[in-house]
Amino acid sequence: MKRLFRWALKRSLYVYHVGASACNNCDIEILDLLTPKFDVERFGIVLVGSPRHADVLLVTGAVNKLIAPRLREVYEATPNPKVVVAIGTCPSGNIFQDSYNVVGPLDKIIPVDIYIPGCPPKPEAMIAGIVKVLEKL
Amino acid sequence: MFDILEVLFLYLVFPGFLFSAVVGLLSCWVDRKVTAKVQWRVGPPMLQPFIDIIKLLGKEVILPRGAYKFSFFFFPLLGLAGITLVSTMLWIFNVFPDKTFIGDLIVVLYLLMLPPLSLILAGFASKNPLATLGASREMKLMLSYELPFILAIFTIVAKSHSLLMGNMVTVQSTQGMYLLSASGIIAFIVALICIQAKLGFVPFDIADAEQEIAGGIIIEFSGALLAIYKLTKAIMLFVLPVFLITLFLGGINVFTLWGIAQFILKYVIILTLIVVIKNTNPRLRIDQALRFFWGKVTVLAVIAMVLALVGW
Amino acid sequence: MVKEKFIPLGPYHPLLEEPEFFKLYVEEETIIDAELRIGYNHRGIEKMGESKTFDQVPFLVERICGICSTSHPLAFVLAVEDLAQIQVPERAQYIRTIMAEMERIHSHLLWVGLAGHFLGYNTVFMWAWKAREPLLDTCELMTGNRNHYAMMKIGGVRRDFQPQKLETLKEVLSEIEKFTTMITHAVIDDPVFHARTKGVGVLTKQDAIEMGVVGPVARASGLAIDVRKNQPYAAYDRITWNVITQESGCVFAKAAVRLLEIIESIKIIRQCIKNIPKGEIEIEVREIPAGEGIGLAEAPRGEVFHYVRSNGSNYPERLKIRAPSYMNIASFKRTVIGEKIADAALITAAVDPCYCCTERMGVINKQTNQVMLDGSELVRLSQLKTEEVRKKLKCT
Ligand code: SF4
Repeated sequence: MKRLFRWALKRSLYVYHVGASACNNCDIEILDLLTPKFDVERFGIVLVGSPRHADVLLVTGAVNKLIAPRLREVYEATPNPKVVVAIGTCPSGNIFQDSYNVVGPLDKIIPVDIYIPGCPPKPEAMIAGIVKVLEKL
Repeated sequence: MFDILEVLFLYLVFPGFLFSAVVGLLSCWVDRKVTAKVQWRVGPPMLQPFIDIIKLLGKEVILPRGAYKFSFFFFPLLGLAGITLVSTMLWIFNVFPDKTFIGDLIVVLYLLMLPPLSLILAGFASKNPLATLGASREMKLMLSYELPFILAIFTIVAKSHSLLMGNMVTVQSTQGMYLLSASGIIAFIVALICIQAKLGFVPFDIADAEQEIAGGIIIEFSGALLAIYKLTKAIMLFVLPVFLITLFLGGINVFTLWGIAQFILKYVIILTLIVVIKNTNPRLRIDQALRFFWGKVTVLAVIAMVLALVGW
Repeated sequence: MVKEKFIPLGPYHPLLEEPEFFKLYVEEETIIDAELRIGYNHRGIEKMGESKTFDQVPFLVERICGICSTSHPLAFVLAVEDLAQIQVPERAQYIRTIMAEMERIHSHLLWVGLAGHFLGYNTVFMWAWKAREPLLDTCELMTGNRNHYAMMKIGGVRRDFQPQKLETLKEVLSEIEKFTTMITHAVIDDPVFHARTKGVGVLTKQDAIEMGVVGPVARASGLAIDVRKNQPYAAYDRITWNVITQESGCVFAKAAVRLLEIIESIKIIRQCIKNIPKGEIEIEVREIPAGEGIGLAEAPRGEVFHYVRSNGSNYPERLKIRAPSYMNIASFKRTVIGEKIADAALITAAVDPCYCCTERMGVINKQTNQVMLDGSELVRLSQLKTEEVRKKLKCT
């Protein structure tokens, strides 16, 4: 039974996108994944509107003071099993790491399963990253 | 009439739960695939809806803080049970028209109201402001489409002079479909639009408008609950067209191959119509939808009714 | 007694890619008051700018916003050039113009798609984003990245455009022109689209002036303001083009302005490609003297304003940024009250707000360390800012 669920999970990822303070670019490239050129629905990946429905949290942007508690809330609202993907260089600091309002890398706030670097990562890179996530499940 | 095992089989396997779920999920796939094609995308693989359901069943179910436990879990199930019953009944009437009973049409109409109603209650029970908003929108939407829907259905009643669904099927098999009359076609159009709303498809996806209220009613549903919701929707996507076919398009003849082929053809046509409407329209606002249903659509339904009464 | 309840719109809301938080006070489905809380995106960029060298700052300000990643660096280098009295070579001016317009096109296309998405019109969303792809690819071809081009540099631009790349650009442009014309007809003539957008979220001309809105939002309300015309930078004064305006100020007008601007931008790029002179693309800048400078650029969302003060060292002493959405979001409070919840998202979207741009200027409460600004404060601040800018504009 467990194996069946895992099999299904790999083929049907519901993705919820959480923007910490991002520059919007990563976020747009994520949306780009849905559009005709990349069309990740082919692989059963769907962007959903509520963390309750999600399997994967895509986090973009540097985490600032205001967003950190929200991020934890969203993380807790997501039902298990769940995966956190850090999109872009920002979650690990980027040029913003010295800022007074940035609390530090994302993995200090919530556990991160995989990082996809790039500023912004190319959509192809994101797909490759998601495939790596599948291996981890 | 039937003994208990037979009833269980009818309800749970064929043509009840299992069968409708499978066909419903397949229709969901058709819907997603056609949508993708319209949008110049490839779209999901065929088994995607099934995989989604399996996955959701394997996930954790979270009871949101402050939600009413009983209603939150019970009502989605009730909706699913209701719609399955409709599916079972429809098939029985089509296959054995003599099993019909007085007022069965009314029963079906009421049962069809069950899924949206139970969703509304579950939405309220989740205590999320967006879900509450979604639920109240769904309620308004129901109010608006039920009137023309019932009028359209009763056009058929007026034409067949009976409330027995079995009768309607038999009459149509001898005298031709009701669709082929002036009143029939108008009533059919009305019913089709109402079905779009019942399914919660664009332009009437007001209650779970993802972009406006983040999924509305279902915002707090996780895991198995979401699976139940999706199943209910899928079965509705199957049952409602079958309902239309029964009433307007001469029912289903399962005893000949040609009959089955005909049914599939009719079903696919209706499904395509629904999906095309869905993809070529932006969402209406709830007040616009209300005005639309009580204005134009109701007028149309009344015209159909009058035409039916004068015998067209 | 009015029964009030508030509907949170955000901070995480599928509609908005970025975190922000609106509190909508509603009666049934009608909005009676609105409050905006931002700060979810504050990264302290202005402060950080002071610890980066003049050459690093363009990299930093580029990351203010992913969509306006030409406008911000452009405004910054303009400010520094203003400060140091640098004359930028002609070819670089043209390249800057081309980049800025490419950005405008893809930003507006993106908006068209998103607007469709908010309306539940996913088909339009997919189509618009599909049309955007070739342009991004061309950007990658010409600059090396799909977004965040890193083209701007004090004294010029970083990369030259080879003629064959400009040819590719031309082809892509005609594709986009075709698409835009198609979508303009398909969407603007659609009755349901009319029903949803006409007369919704009207920002009157008077309000527009009072709120100090800029960019397409202002132009949709009948104000013909555009930095490219009013205070030309780069090569805009050597090219003929029109400022698009609409009178009604509703969501429909905003959509129309953006769609028509795409066509206008295509015109601009075509002329640039035709007229682009040969020559250097940058001049060497050795020293930034002490002094002040301002740079203004018209981003897709309106006027971007950068102010730089230098004390002669390698680092700017002060960097002040004002992004267009800052003014535009404030207009939300005027437009949204009395409308339906269903329209709130659309009205906000019509402004095309960009929070990552706005949040340079969080007002930080020292005790709680929280960034808080409510609607009225925003309005007041925004008006103050307009005054300031006006004064500054006069003295230059
Ligand atoms: S990684 Fe780069 S593109 Fe992504 S949000 Fe950060 S600055 Fe923007």
